[in-house]
Amino acid sequence: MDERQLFFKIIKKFLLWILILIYAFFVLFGVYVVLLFGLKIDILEFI
Amino acid sequence: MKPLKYLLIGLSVIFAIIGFLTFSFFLLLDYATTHAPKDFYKERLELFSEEPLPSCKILQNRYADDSQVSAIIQLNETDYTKILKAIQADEHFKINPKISFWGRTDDLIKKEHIDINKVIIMYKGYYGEDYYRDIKHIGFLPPNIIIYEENLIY
Repeated sequence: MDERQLFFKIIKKFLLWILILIYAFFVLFGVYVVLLFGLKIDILEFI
Repeated sequence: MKPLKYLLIGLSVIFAIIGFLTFSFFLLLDYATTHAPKDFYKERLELFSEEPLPSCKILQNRYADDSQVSAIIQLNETDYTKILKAIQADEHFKINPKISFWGRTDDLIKKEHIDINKVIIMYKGYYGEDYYRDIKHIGFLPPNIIIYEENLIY
């Protein structure tokens, strides 16, 4: 594997992790919203 | 084990969709409600106090959120007294210094070193829409606003 391939491999992995983090943020935000508006539990209040 | 895995993936997708939609909605709402017109709060405060307030300095100028403070207004001692008198003359208003702030309002309060125990908070939530419709001259009153006198900064 040359340097160029290695570079793209690292970039791909990095981008994948960024996407996973964004997805996780939306999942957590969705859970927060459902709890807040659905069950009237504000989890941020406990922090 | 497989059904549980699919259930978790399905739930996470549903939550992600809900999260994405509400986040976008609030982002748009935030964008649409960020700034009130220039002098919006000043004009309404002057209508309320029935006197001009030349020292009125608007530190935060946002539109109608029900849950958040929309405006933070700094006045000099003379103008602050005018507002205080108008508030004291109006039996519907209460002075409640105990309120929790969060987000940008909280940041602003820290940045401007505002002592929240020494401010007047005109808070929409206590009185409801009907009350504001009845106020003479005001029409639409600003939602939650904080007014403080500049000398009360610590």
